[in-house]
Amino acid sequence: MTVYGFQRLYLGRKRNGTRMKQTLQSYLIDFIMENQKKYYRIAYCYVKNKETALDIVQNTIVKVLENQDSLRKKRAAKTWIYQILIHECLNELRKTKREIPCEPEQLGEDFYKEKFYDGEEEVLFEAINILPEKQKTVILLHYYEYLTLKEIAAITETNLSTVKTRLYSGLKKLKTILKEEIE
Amino acid sequence: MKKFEEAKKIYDKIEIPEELSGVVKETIEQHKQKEVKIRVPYWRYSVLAAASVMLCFTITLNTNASFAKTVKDVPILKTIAKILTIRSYEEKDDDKTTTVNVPAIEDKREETSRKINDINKTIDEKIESYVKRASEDIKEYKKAFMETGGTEEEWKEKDIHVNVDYKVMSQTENYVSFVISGCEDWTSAYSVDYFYNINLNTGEDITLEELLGKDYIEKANQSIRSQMKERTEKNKELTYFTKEEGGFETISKDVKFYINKKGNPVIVFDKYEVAPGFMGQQEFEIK
Repeated sequence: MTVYGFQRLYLGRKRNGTRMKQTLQSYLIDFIMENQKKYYRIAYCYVKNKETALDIVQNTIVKVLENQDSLRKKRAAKTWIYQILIHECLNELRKTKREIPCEPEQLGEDFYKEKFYDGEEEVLFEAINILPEKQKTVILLHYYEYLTLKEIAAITETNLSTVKTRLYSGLKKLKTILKEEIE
Repeated sequence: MKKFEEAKKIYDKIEIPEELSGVVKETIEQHKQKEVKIRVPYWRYSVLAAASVMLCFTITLNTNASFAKTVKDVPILKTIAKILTIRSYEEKDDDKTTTVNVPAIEDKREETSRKINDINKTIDEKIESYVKRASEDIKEYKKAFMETGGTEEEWKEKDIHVNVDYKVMSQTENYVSFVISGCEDWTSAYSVDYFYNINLNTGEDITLEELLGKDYIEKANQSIRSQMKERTEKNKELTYFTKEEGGFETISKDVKFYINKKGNPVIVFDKYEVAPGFMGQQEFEIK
């Protein structure tokens, strides 16, 4: 109930368009507040750095709020915000050229020694982190955030069969990494 | 697939930094304020709206016989008292921009006019003292900013605003409930809300006891506790301070509230009062 809030509400009564914007905005804000931890974790999985991950979350919120006019349906908000978030993450990786090595053979031996611990689950967690971007995005959203493949297709702006292909190639790659690790 | 569940457990354990909720909140707040700065002054909307209403009116009156009849049947609204803006100004100096709308109750009846006048006077004084304090705060902040190597130009870029405005929460023939809010946009810590619930027949403040009965404290406490529980159960991200953390125990006699359109009191806690900052101001309707 800030001054700003009700001035906008006041405007909203005069003009229906503004009123709709008001309700959409507060809906988006609630949505962001509820899911902020998820957004942070995803960002962290990409950039592995607290400050950068916080920056990404912040940039995502700014973009979501500034471009809210382009969101037509409320129920698409979930995938739309993820889309912006993932975009920001990949952008950041490209910008800083801190891309995580893609192929298992590209990783030095030290990497394995350092990163992989005793438990097999941790091996899997780390293995997911070093997957190529596209496969990683699918696996991360599907297994960590329980998004459907259809939703992931919307987020990555591809079609369902592409998402499936990426999922299977990702799983295959994971198997290879895990096998090598166990041997 | 089970392995993935294990991996998700590790994922869920990725530590959430303390700063996150602050960053999120701040970003949203900044966006809201940016939006306000580019807004069209709302009197333009009123003029436009009034013009379009008149236009519609003429057309309908001329074309629709039954509408003409309806207009005649509408009883004249008898509002004896109303809230209006008596003073409105915007002031810009080197430190900040100040925008103020001062409300007052206008009441034509003689019996209550003296009391209402007193209320209007205190409203005016409160707002003036708020603006004065805000400008002192900002002066101090600017001094610190300059001493730590800031330049006049960087300060200008901050474009600091002080805003005072009011909102009528509900109004009937018998009472009016409104809130005056003041805020400085460089910090959310200095926002204030003054609530007024005034019985228009007597010119006195309406108390919670009048609305809820003698056991109003217990009634309100119970309702607040159960609403807090409900909210945190519905959304796991929300938390209220525990008793140990200085959280809610009981309302005091002069707790802030307003009366909503349904005529129910709504108790308001400031940001940080009963919950962490990201939860903002907390409101509880007592039915």
